[in-house]
Amino acid sequence: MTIAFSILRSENPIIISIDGRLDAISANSFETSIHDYLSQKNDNLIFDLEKLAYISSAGIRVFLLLINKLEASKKKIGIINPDEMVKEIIEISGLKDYMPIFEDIENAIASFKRV
Amino acid sequence: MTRVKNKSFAFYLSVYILSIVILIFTFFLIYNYTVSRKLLLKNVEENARHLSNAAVNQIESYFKCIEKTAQSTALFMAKTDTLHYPSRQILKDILSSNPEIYGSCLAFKPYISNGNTIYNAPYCFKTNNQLCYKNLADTSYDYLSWDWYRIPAEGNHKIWSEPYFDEGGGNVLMTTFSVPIYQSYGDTGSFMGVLTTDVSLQWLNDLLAGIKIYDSAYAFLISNSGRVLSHPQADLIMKENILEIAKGTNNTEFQIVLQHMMQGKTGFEKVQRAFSDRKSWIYYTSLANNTWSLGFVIPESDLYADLQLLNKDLFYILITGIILLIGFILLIANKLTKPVRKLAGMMHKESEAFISMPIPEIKESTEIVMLNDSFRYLQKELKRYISHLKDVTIAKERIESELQIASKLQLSMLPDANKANVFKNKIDITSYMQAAKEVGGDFYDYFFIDRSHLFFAIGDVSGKGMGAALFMSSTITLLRAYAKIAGNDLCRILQLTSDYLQQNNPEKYFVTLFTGILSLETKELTYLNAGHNYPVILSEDAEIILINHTHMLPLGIIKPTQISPSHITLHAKDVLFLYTDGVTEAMNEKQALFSTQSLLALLRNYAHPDKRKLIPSVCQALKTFTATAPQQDDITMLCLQLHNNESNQDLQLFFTDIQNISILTDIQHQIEIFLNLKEIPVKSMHRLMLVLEELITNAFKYAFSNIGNKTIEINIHVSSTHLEVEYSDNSHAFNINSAIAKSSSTSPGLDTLGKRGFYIIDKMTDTFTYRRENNKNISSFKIIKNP
Repeated sequence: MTIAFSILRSENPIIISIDGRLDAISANSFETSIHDYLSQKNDNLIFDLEKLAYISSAGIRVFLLLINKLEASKKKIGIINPDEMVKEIIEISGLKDYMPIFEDIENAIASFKRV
Repeated sequence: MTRVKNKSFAFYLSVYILSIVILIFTFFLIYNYTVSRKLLLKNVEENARHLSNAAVNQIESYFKCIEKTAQSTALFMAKTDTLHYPSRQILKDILSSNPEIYGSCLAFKPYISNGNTIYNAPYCFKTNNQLCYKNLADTSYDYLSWDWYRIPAEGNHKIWSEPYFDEGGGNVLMTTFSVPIYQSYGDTGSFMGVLTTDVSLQWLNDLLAGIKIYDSAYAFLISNSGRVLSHPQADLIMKENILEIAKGTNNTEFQIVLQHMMQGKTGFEKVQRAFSDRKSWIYYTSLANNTWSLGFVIPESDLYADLQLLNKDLFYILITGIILLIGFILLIANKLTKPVRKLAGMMHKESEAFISMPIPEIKESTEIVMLNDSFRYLQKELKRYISHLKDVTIAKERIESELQIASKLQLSMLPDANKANVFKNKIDITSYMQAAKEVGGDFYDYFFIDRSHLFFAIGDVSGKGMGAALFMSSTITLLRAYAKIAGNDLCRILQLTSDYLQQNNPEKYFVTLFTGILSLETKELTYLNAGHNYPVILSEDAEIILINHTHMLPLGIIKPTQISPSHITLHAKDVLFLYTDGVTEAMNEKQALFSTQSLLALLRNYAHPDKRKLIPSVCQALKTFTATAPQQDDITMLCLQLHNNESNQDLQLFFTDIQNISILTDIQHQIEIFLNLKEIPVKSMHRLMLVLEELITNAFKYAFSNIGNKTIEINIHVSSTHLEVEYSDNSHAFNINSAIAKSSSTSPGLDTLGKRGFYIIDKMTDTFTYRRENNKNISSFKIIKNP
């Protein structure tokens, strides 16, 4: 198991913590599970990336697809606690414009509750 | 299912029974025909004899009667004065009192009645029921020279003349009886003349025609001179000599029969041809006093007509009988074999279907009931057997599959040196383990305790099989665990392991062990030998050094006391060869052991520079030695070779036969170890992995389709400022460089999912170049060492 996620908060905004490596091998199963989980939900999402050790373009793609999906229902995605490398990839890939990085969990919740 | 075209039981039964029946009937018919024929012939002969005797008697009595009339007249005349008695009256009396007498003549001796007349022969005959008279003397008919007169006159004989046609009279066939008259009155004994009586033979035809034996059978009469006197064919009568006719038939049998008849014989014979008839039987007999012969011709067709009719009827009865018999046999056979066929039909089913099929109830015959009972029994037994077999098979399969899992698990516990080897730049490790059974008690292990210290071990648990395997797995686990705790302290690792094994060893297994810690920097080897086979060091100049030092007893039973490890410093390119007793004690069919001497000799003579081939060549030698003998013990070998120097800073990874993208995990793992050794920051490693992942994902997405043996090669050189990487794969040509160039011109957005990878590569690398060489895509790039 190179990737796992756990739900830290299940009401709006939902907070999901991701643990492991999000690479070409794990991206598919992660994508399926997260979509399964979100299929009954219609809330804003905050990803806690503290335990995400690695992300490649395959992982970026999963986030992009999520953003795409949530945009249709005017919902938003935010992230907290990315490590330096993960943050770099998110910045390089241009994902930052669609998926804001919050300083901490309170900020993120406060920001999304307002929406 | 194809049914075998066998003849049925009914068919065989019919054929056998009918053959016998037909044989018996044929024999019966032939016998019946033969015997009936014999009887018939006998019967016919008898019949013919009776009929002919009757005919003969009738004829003879007729002639006797005529003779008597003539003789009594002659006698009367002898006693009377004949000459003066009116001869005309005598003749008239004869004719009127004997209707069968046609004419009568009194031929007197010359001059006896009248001295002047020579001839006097009054003749009386019937014409149209009137009596006529004439004197033969009037006709110039010299009767004296005729047989009818001459023979009685000369010899005092009575005589019947040869039959003749009376041309003057009724033109009928006649015969004449002549009797001499002697004067007994007065002058005694003097010859007076001859009295003749003519009789017609016409009545013979009627008589013979009246005798009927068979429809087409007929009688005929011949004289001894061969004249036909009576025959149904009127034109034959008196016309020809019978022998001429017989010659005409060209049949000697018939000629012989006729000659016999002329000789007055009696017989019953078969001839091929009689007159105009084919194949006939002839019965013949003579008329006693008459020198005539009577014959009956009975055509065979006629004779056997009834017999053939009888046989024909019998044949029809036989045919009808056989047809009925066939029907009956088929019916019986069908009835008898019906249950058998039912049972046979069951046998063609799958065994599963067979055991669940109901056995038919049969009451017909004992044997079939027995068979049926046997089937019932067979079905029951089969049911029992199948269910038992199922249980056994399930149990066996479970054990086998568990053993297989255990075997896989055991192998997976051992490090795989044959995979891409991170230690390539400092040390080459090759290994081999082959358990005698599915699982074994041998093991080897090696891992880095820290960046420059390699821990390795080889061991052999007493015994074989599952117990040994479990003990081995706990040993290998303990060693690994304690190596993490105790680090470089080999003694402590062994002490802890030994204690644990000893305390938890109810079956009293023990394990021989050789462990060592090799410093890759100083090349110093620290080792402990717990009763294991002595390892061998092969130096570069083919010198053999046996590390023949035992420090302690095998682990597991007795707690070791004071132990202190030994040290030895290896040289560059030295090879350390470790093995278990499965190698030296490999046994051939003659129960001979491979021996340590053979192994050492083999190692001494091993000249190949590539020491990675050492283990395969030992394996080959063992295989040659043991030949077909089964492997007795687990065989394990471990071979370590130090590299020449440390100048080679590159990591070379080479993967073949790649199945899918999960190879990334292996690559990542190897790179992590390598870069850790090189103390490269995690950030650079991540960048490197990002780029490699993009390249490999890209190859799998677009360029690896239809490539059989997918191969990837990665070479990482650490320079003072950069990681210099060369990546190549054997996928279809794909110019990554131009893809990168395109992606970098557009800013990333939500609509540019596919190009994001190339964008990342562009951002992460310096001087990315692409080239196509030897059907390979080769990408070279640099990543900053300390970003």
